Amino acid sequence: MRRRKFLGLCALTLAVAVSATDRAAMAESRDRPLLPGEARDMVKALGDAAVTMLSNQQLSQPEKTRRFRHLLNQSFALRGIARFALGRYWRRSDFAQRRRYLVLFEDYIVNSYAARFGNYSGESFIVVDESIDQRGWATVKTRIQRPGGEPVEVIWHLRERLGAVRIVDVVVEGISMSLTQRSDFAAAVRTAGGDMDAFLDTLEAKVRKIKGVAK
Amino acid sequence: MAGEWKHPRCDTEDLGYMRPFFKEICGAMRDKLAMREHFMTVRNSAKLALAGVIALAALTGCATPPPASDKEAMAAFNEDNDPLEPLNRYFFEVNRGIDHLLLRPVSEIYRGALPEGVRNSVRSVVNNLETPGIFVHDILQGEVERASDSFGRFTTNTVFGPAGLNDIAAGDNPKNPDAGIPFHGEDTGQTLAVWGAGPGPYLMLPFYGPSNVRDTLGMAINFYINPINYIVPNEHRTGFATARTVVKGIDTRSRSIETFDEIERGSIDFYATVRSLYRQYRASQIANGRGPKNPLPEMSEELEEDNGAERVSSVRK
Repeated sequence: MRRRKFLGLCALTLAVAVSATDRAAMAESRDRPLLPGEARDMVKALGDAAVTMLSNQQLSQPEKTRRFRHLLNQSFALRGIARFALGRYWRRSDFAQRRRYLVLFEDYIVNSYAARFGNYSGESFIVVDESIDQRGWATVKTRIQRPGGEPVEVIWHLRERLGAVRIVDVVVEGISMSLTQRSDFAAAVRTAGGDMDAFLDTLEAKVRKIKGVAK
Repeated sequence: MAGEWKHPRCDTEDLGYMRPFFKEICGAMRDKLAMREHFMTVRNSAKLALAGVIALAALTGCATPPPASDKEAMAAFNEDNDPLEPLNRYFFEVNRGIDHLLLRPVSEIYRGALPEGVRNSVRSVVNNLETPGIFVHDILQGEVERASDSFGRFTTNTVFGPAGLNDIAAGDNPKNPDAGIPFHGEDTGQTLAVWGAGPGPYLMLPFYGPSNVRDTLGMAINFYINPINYIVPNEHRTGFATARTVVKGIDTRSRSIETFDEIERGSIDFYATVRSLYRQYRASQIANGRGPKNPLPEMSEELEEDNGAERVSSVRK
């Protein structure tokens, strides 16, 4: 009887210990600080891939769009950004709405940028420097040089999560793309009277409209 | 009227040996009067504009704040800082109309008619004329290095430009963009911000576009800061400043036609997007490129707890 009690206690301790280490391990995997050069190399690779894709005259517009979608999914924390862009309305929406929103958000971003592919005119992409803050997030400063124009400063924010290094924000000349998106969506949901479904209909209509321009 | 002020001896020829002295005094007095007259015009039009704004605000009403119990909605409302939103949206549409009918077509003609080199010279001259004022602001903000940049740029471009026609100080070397000293802007709104003034409510000004209370006040004061305005003969002062503003406006608009089209096409609520862009743009200008490393402090939390998203995606699979 006593032995059984002892065993039970052991099991309990073990369970607590295991769950504690488990949690510690999880916390670690969630917050691995980025190594120097890691983010820099990733942004450099992304920039080179984008320039190669854009300057390739042989590729058709749908093929460029497909490749861009792939690059976007590979390098950006797209779901996190989507959630941030929706702000407080994310928590108020149900699973079906979230699912519909995430699919629409990806389409929205892909097509917004696809509509600009034609504007590419030999810009080059230079990585200037990289810094890592206390949280282990990386900031990569880059410069996009337009031939005959003024250079544009673009800053990339990256972090590691669940084993993958991803871009969480792009800041162009001091303007955060994620934050701007969030302001736009917040106002749009408010105009829709806080009705998520009405907002999603508006977003869907917008995506369809941009798609028309991209073609 | 202030403009008719005359010293009894200013217009008489009979000044005798005091003549050079009086000439100086009379000139200075006339200068002062011209400045005062400009100030009165500004004040009168400001009064008129304010009365109009108040009347329109009464007609369109203010933005309704959310119920105090909804803390998140309240936080978002305060973050927007746009109590005059209905009125601002009205002026936003007015400005879009003006842009559509006037500013954009003129900018397109300007861009189409003049080669890039000429347009760059136009911008360079206008920037150069603003630079003494920017220098004053650099000093007022305690930015020694930037002040010396402005000083160097003004002297170099004025002498060797010549007259600011070429921005040689910026150095035209795409291989090494860090070689020269690029132009940087400053204005009274930024100086007031550095001194600790908050932006105040967001304002959409007719003609001028997005602003806030601080920057609007700064815009009214800015005329008096630029030393160039004191060198120009007093009867041309206001006209000269206005011409610079108009030319700069057309040049800037002509360089952002595609960008603005894209922003408009991509946004669901164009007004809210422009409001966010203006706020961020001003914040980055005020910080002189030394803004916070991470512009989204609250984003870490948002990204951290995106378990819901993870779950949704697994449902999708």
